[in-house]
Amino acid sequence: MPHRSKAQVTVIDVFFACLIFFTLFALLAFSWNYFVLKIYSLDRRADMENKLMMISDLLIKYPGNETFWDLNCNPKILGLGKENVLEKKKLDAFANSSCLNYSTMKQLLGSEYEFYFEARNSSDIIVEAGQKPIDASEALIIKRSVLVDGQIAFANFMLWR
Amino acid sequence: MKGFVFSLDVWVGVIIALVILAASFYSLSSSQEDIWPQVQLEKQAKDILLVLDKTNSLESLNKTRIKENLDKGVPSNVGARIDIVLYKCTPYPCVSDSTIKFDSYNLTYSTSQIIPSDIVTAKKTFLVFDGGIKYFSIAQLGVWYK
Repeated sequence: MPHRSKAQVTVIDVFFACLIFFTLFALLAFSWNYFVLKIYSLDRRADMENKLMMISDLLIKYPGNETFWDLNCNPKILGLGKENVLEKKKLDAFANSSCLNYSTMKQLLGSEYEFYFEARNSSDIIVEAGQKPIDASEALIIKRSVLVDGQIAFANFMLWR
Repeated sequence: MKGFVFSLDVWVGVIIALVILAASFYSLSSSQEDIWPQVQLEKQAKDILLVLDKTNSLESLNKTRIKENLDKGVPSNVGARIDIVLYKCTPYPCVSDSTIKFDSYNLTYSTSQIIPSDIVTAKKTFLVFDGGIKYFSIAQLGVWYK
């Protein structure tokens, strides 16, 4: 009789040990998956933020290379003006898809994300370039105050995926 | 007694594992505080001051002009407050042994009601000329989300 009782206790022990082990294992697996996805998402978002900031800075602070790239439509580095003063001719060239097509712009901006740009004053859009978001899972926008033809305007940059 | 010790060990182990997991979840969720709006505000404040400078609004010290251009240059979802402080050479005009002293507050203007806890501030120094240097000036712009 004591022999039977001991064997039964062992089985219950094993059962509970397995239950606890698999519960913890499932919890850890779920947590691991959650952390990986979350960290990936945060990393992606930080990357988008950095790129959006750099692209907006590049375009409004730097006139581009060649300096008059809007004439031959063959820039090596894009830029629309200097110190927030944008050149209308460059804005027009940037928005003209026959001068710069979308994939060339993306390549020049060094972005794997889709982008949309618009320069606008308080009431109207002056120029727009890129692609507006379609079924975007994530989008980031930054509004920069600039001057276009001596008038105060906004340059809005958007990255999306 | 031996069996009981074993169970206690298990429970202590399980509790430690759960505490570590909970701490990890808490740590990850608290590290997700979004700083992007603040970074954006900082950029916008600098941009607005630069635009005011490039339009020569600051240098003009013309209050109406500064107010108008500030209203135009601030995005609709952002509020802003500008303070311009003037410093002057003493004695005036500036000579080599002049000292720069506070002269006056030129302008304090706000585009909307202020929410002090959310303000991001940028500063820009500029000079006002009248033959020679008339004022050494500081424009301070605070911006916030409405």
